[in-house]
Amino acid sequence: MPSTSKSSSKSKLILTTGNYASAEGAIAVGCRFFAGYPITPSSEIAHYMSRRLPQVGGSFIQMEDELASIVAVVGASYAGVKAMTATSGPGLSLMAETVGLGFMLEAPMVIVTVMRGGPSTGQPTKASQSDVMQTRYLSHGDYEMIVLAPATVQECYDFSIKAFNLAEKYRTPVIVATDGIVGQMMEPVSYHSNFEVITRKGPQVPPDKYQPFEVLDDDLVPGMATAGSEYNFYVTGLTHDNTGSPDMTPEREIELVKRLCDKIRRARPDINDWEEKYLEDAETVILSYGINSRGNPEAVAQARKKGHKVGYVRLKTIWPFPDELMERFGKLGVKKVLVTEMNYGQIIREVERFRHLGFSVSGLLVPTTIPFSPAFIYEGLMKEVNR
Amino acid sequence: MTTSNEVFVPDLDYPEDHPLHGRLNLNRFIFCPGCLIGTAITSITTCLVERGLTPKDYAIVSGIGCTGRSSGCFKAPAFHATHGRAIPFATGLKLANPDLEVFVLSGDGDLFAIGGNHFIHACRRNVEINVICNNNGIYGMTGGQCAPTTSIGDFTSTSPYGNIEPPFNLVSLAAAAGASFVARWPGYDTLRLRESIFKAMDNPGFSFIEVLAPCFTQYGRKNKRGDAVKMLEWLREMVVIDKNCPPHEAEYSHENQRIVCGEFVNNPREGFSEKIKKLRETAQSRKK
Amino acid sequence: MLNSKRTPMLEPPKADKEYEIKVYTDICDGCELCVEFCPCNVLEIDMDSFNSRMLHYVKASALDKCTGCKQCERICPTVSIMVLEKEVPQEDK
Repeated sequence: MPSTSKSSSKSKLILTTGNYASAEGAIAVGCRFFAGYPITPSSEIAHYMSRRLPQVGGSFIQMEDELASIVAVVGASYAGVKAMTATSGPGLSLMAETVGLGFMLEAPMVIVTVMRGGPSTGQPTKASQSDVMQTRYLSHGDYEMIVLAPATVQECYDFSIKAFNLAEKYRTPVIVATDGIVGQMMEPVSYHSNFEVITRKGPQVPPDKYQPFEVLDDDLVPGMATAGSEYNFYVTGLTHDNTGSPDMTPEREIELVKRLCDKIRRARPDINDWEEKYLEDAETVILSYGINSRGNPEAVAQARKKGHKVGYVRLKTIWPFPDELMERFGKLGVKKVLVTEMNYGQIIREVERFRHLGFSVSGLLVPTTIPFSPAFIYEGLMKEVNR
Repeated sequence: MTTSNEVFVPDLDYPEDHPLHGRLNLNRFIFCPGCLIGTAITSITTCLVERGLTPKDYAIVSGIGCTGRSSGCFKAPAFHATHGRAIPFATGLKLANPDLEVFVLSGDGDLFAIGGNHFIHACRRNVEINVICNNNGIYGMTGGQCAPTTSIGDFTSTSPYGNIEPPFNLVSLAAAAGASFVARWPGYDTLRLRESIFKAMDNPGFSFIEVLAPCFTQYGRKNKRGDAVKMLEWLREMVVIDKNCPPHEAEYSHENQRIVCGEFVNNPREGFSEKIKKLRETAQSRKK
Repeated sequence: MLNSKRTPMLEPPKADKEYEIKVYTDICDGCELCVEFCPCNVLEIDMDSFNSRMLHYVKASALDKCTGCKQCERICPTVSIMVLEKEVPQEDK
């Protein structure tokens, strides 16, 4: 099992931006390698890392492009170091291929993507939630992605820590999808050290018996050897058998893809997390995530004052999609789900898959670059309640 | 349903008394018999063995293609990266674990077409990796397409009327980009190649060795150059060894029948991970 | 031919040395590179036998001509041929 250690000490409250908090969270949990390429609005993470990483004995490198950044991160991960990169939509598009490699090689790594308006160059200095599907279906092939969506600067810090822990625990790339506003706004943050640090599972057998993709535990995660140890291994992006040798049989493809996907799917109860309020008696529920969820408490409080049975849910992990939450909606007898997103309809399609559980799904979907105000959400909510 | 081929494949390994026992995985040698990629692999391995390095001291990274499959032949930490990304992968490895001797063994299409940008930036940065490029002037594995190193007039799958693009001169490119060790040898000249591999390992910065390993299966067939041995004869007639040639004059031309080989740059300077080490000291002293 | 033009890269063998050539027949692909590169025509492909992969392999047919230049060993893509020194008993002294 992955080794864990718990630490705690007094925490201080400081005023900082989401991007700095993301970077500091990564350093707090043990990230010692950052390779990146400047892109608005994520550049501050690289700024912070270039200053802080040498102080803590890490390596910062500004690569020639995003393609190189993400590959260097995979390389560093296989040298046994916790590694990350940060980018925004266009850069994430360039990283797509290697995220697939990271999933195939089972390399723990973290990518912070600070979402901005798109498509193409879009609105670099503004926020958006239009990359939600991109974070899930980034690379080609069949795979599962873990994506966390912080809504506050404090969560930027906490989710960086959580992302590294999930990446190390399940040996998979993890994306933290913040956005231009959360990344660049300032809020008081506690840089606490009251968290668990998970480090990857090492090889469980002596070097002569070691096979890099041999699964010995129920969690489907093989022990990971790193370059520079006594262990010899070959890892390839080709479909491989347990020894790492390329294997072009259909049986092997089935076995490998199933294991890699099941590794994440089975762990959904451990990964998925959301915040909910008034769900017990709610007939109409607002479902949102990220910066756009911050108007919900106000809008819902207004509606409840008027006697409407409404509640709200904020997804903290977008992917893998929390099917359990939808089942909970069904059990609690939710009648209507209103999905609010700063895009033209992405997560709503996932929610629509669960209509058979007895609720109707509608959306408040605007491809805007500023978050919805409580008044706008309230208006949309009232329309939905009275429909 | 099963569609796997039930062909008997014997499990190959070197016997205990062989000097390369435990260093190479012969079952992953997928190369055409007579291809000099194998010679490059065994040359590197022999040099590592002669230096007394064990697999925990080194790592091999390769990209995609014929030479891309070579990393699997090593019994060591070996990585088969995505197409063109062998050098950044090696950069990440080296920076995260500076004690490793990192070798990149990849082809000309991988390193200079899709990965050309990474190559020149690694030269500029002087990362302490040894890049060995198997230059066969063609995309072998994907079916013999035109590469950035294919000479003018040569026939490939995508240049059926003869190639019209001038090729890269790899050693000039590497030298101009700032590599601190640059050499070019024909793949059959193993003695000089091994000397250069030793020098590359001694060099504190980025080392680049171009190995000429003609592809008889794709290139030879399409250009009527004959089999493996005939192609090496053809290559041998073009090769001129000139150790004092400046890199920008190191001609690589099939039309002029002249390929200048030798060591063109040997200018050791401080590598990138050493600089990062010093940067850390500066950062930590300023913090106080 | 290549072998007609090449000269051995190592110094000429000493008088008190003989060489034996060891071929790891299963590993040999029969690519003929060593046959062509041998400056003394020591090697040939054995057309009468097969290895476990049903390939013809190389054999030393004129071992007495071997000068120990090890060109075959270095050019072999799989190092399936090795040149070993054999000490000759010095009876003259």
